[in-house]
Amino acid sequence: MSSNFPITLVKTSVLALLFLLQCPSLPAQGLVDGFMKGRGQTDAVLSYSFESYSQYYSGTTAVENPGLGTIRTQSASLFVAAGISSWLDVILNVPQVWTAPSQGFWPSQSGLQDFSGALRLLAFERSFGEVGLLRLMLAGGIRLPLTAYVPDAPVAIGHQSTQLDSRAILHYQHKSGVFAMAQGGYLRQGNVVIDRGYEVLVPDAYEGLFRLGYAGAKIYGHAWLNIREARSGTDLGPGVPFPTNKIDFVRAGIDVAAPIPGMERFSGVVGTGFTLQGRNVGHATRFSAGLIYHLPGWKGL
Amino acid sequence: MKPSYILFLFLALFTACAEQPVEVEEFPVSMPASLDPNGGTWRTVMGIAPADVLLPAPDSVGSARLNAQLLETERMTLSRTAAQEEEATWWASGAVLRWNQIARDLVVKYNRPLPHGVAPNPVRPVASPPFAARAYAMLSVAQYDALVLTWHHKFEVNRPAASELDADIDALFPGSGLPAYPSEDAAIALASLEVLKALFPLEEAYLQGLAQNHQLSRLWAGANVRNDLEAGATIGKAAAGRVLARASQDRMTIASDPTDTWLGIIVPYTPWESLDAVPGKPVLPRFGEVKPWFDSLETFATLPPPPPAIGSLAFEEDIALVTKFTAEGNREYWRIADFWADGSGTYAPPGHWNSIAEKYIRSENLNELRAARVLSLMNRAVMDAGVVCWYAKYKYFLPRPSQVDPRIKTATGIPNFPAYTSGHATFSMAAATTLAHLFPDRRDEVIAMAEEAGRSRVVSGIHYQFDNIYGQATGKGVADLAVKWALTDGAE
Repeated sequence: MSSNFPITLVKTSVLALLFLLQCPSLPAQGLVDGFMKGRGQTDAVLSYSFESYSQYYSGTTAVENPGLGTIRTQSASLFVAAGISSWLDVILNVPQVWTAPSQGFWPSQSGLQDFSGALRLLAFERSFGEVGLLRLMLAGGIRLPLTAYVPDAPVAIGHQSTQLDSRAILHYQHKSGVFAMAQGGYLRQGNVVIDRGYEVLVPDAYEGLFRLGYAGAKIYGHAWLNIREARSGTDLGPGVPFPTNKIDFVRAGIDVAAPIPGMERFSGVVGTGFTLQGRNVGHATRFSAGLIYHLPGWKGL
Repeated sequence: MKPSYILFLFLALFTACAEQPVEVEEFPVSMPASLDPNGGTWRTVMGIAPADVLLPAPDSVGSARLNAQLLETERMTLSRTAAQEEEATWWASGAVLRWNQIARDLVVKYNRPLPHGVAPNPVRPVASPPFAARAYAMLSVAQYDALVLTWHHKFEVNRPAASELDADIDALFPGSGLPAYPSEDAAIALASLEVLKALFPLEEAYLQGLAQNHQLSRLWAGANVRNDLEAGATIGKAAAGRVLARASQDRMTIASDPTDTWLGIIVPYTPWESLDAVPGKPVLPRFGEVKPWFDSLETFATLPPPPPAIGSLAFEEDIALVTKFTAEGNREYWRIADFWADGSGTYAPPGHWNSIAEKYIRSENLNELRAARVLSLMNRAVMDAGVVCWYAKYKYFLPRPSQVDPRIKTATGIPNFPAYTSGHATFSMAAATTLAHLFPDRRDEVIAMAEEAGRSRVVSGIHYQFDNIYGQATGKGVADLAVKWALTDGAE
């Protein structure tokens, strides 16, 4: 086990990064990566992220709002991924989020946001010897709001929608450590009863996530591209985001992880993400950092 | 360990995904609890009387003209499509309320503030709360007056519904027992069409289509003949004409203050300033000069006294309360703030009260005339209370709490007009006091709602408690005039 320990760590970091990269006001993206955990392997990740934007897309037009200024969002997450068996992983995440505008009269908001849980199944795996390894995985997840935070304000930490996420993940890994991953998913988003006293539709969405990277013994890194497109929905009213909004985006970024020298079982991870295109979302830039702890192995189920 | 059924399950999950639509509430065909045979004697708002409107004569039972029309209705019922049945049922659930909903939807669409500096466009009005209050009142008054006249002729002519005169007519639903000439649906359709197209000129084609289908739906249902519709439409149009003539002279044209007199308002404290991201002209500075429905002197007897001066002990105590409420970050405060906010892109607070009145009207199965009476009384009270409130806002020109203390963060958007008195408190108590009289069993519930609406603006940080208290007092005072009217209009 000791020989592949760093690899395991960096595998987990990929999962962690997916969470770090999500905008806290949006449903979880990229709940899972293309590396199976392995039976009895568990990682816990504590992470912090900082995101800000002074422009947002009202419809597809980038605008600034002097009534809000710059929206700054911080989040701290606890993330756990565990290999139940060689073909089944369980993944859990809970974030605490703080968000505040720099101008105007809207108050800051904070709170425990949404619990995310997912199961990942290995559906198919084939080794090509020297050429590498191809793997197909299926994942199903749920996202549940944990507190009664405000769902529809210019400054809010989430949308209060309960979400079901199903996706297929194709992962190819070359013996050199270079890998490529593509996944496609469907996000089914539950309707929300807003404070005004009625139910509103939260549009379902398609999501694609692509990644190209290197997973070596001493370092892990990848570049990612995340595309989200809602099936329907409204555009932002005069500055007021709403659960019914059609939220689309193209985001990209880079993440790097490495074991921390002298600290057995610990790795560090840093990342950044940028919004390239959007509709009804912030034109946000995100930085994140996290600490990964690899728990002692157990026998699994 | 990799059973193929897992793959199958996931594929099924992917393909079975369909968005879950929000359910639209459906209402059954309305069966009125009473017919009010003496409804034709009730007092009209505009003073219009049956003799003022010349109607196409009622074709007598057995006449060739009526028989030909009965045959037309019969044919229409026999070739009726599913879509026509749906349409007929939709209108038959309460036409006064359907047109009220249509008006609320138009307010939703037009309740978008113009960017500051953009000149108002008369054909594309901004349906701000005062505009909306007046629109609902005009609609309800036209509907009510038209129905009083309709009722008069109905019980004078006393001609049964088409399906009762011709057994071959396939009636879609049982009749209400109301005489058919003139058609109350045509009266409502035309009264509503004329008022709404004058208020929202760009919607004329859409509204014409609705009015057309509404009238035809009565033939598809087998309830009326053309002659019923023509007579009803004539009355509806005449009643709306009176309301529109009044509206052309009620000073609404100066409500937006085209000459910017608001810039010259002088008060003995720091005057109101716009807190909009890009500051600009407040909403309808001269709406307080618009002519009220009830007696002007009696209406303006409800004008509140001057607010506590900024810096006075009473003022400091009150703003400390606002600071305390907003600093708490209480989720329940936020909920009621949002519930009653009814800001831009909604049917506005007066629309909220129309939706509450709709529930009460439905729960008691009121006939069309009584439904229109409820809305006409309530919406006149709401508008007049709004007029007094707006007058106070620009007479006293009091800053919002966040202008006095920018540390006060608000749970809802800060409206771009002065604080004193609260429009929400005023509109809501006017509506609730009127409804409490008309639905006495609901008194406690409806007054509690109005109190919550008023309180919602204080706990959300955009109003002082004295804005709320004096707003409620105006609302109640004006509603008392509506109640006085209700006691003497012949319906009670």
